[in-house]
Amino acid sequence: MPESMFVRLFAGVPPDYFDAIPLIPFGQWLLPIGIFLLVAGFYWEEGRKLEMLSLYRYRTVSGWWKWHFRKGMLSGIRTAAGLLLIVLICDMAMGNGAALSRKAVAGIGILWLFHSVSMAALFALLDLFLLRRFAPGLLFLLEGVTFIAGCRVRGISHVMYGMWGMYLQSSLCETEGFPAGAVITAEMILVAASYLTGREYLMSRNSSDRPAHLLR
Amino acid sequence: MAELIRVENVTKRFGDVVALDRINISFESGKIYGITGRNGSGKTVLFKTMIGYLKPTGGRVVVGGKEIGKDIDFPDNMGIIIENPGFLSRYTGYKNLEYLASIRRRIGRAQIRESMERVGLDPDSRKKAGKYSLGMRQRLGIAQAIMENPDILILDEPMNGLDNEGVNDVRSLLLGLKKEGKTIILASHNKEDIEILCDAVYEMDHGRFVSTV
Repeated sequence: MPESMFVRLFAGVPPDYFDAIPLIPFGQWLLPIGIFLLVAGFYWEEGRKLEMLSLYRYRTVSGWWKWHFRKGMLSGIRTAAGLLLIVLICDMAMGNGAALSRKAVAGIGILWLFHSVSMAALFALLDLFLLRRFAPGLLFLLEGVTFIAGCRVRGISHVMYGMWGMYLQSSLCETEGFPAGAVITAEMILVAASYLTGREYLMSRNSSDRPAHLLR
Repeated sequence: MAELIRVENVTKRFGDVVALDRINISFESGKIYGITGRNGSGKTVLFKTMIGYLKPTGGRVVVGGKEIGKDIDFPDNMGIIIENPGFLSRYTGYKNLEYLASIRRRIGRAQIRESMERVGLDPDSRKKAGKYSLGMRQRLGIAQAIMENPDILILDEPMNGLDNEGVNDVRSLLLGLKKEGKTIILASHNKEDIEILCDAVYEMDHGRFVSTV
């Protein structure tokens, strides 16, 4: 199992690290996260080009946000699934696939996919604000800081966002791991909360303009 | 002529900067209006406020009897170009328009093709929008503004980047649209455009109208 590139990149950091920050496995975990955020960044940047000409065609701000958010989610799912599939195919081609059980592949894929979708939702929300340029960096930081906090203080590791996508830290792999079902539910609540927060912000009478970046 | 747009006492501030200062103006149907003024005089902010992209700090904009931001978020019967229009660079011109048309779902392929042909673009061209010259992008911008046959056109510097032939084509197009009863509000730095096209001209400076012709 440790030979598999799929496991090294998507299963996360094993729970047997306590005091030291696990630089190599953590770096391997952050690599696909970084690629995902980079692709998401290109996607939102490209989509923004047509925003000036498309926004008023939706008739309502909430109609635009619904479409905009849904498109971002679909793009996130496509990117995440594409990354999982590419690495899995590479593993198979290199003969490492035999070491992987179907159950492990499914567990790793599901946790990583839900984690990516929640990141895409946060990306869509951040994209509404003027700090949108920093969205990939902020999410990368969130992933890193919350993982390190969870590593240092084991008592809070289950509620740390940076741990949530890691199969090796979950109850699917470790009896002491975070409950996978509860984490998937929490990630879905995060998606719903991002959508509702964005809608409330756009509809708010206090926000001077909507969306703010059209001020450019 | 029926009054189509009414801008009532509209003020827009960005922090301490007053971009629009108690603007009052109304636009009737079937006319071409020109808004002139140097860069930063408030033309684009006025246009964005009329479309519903910016909320006025004070005052209100009424389009077709409906108040923007209260009765409706965005006007339903408008076509716009604001600044240099951006397009999805990996798509052809036709694909970009098809994408925009799919939002309102009011028109089909025939109308998209017709609008491209009206501005001198080939709808069958395989050229990606990312490879378009500034003039071609501007023509595509005009095509997207007119393709859904809106009653009102808001055009911010529509002649930007066009060669002489392009300018003449767009002038003829706008005069033709006026004959069809469309209301056109355009901002331009070019005095000739204003003289040839406009029924009324308003000059802006520091967020206010300083003269009317």
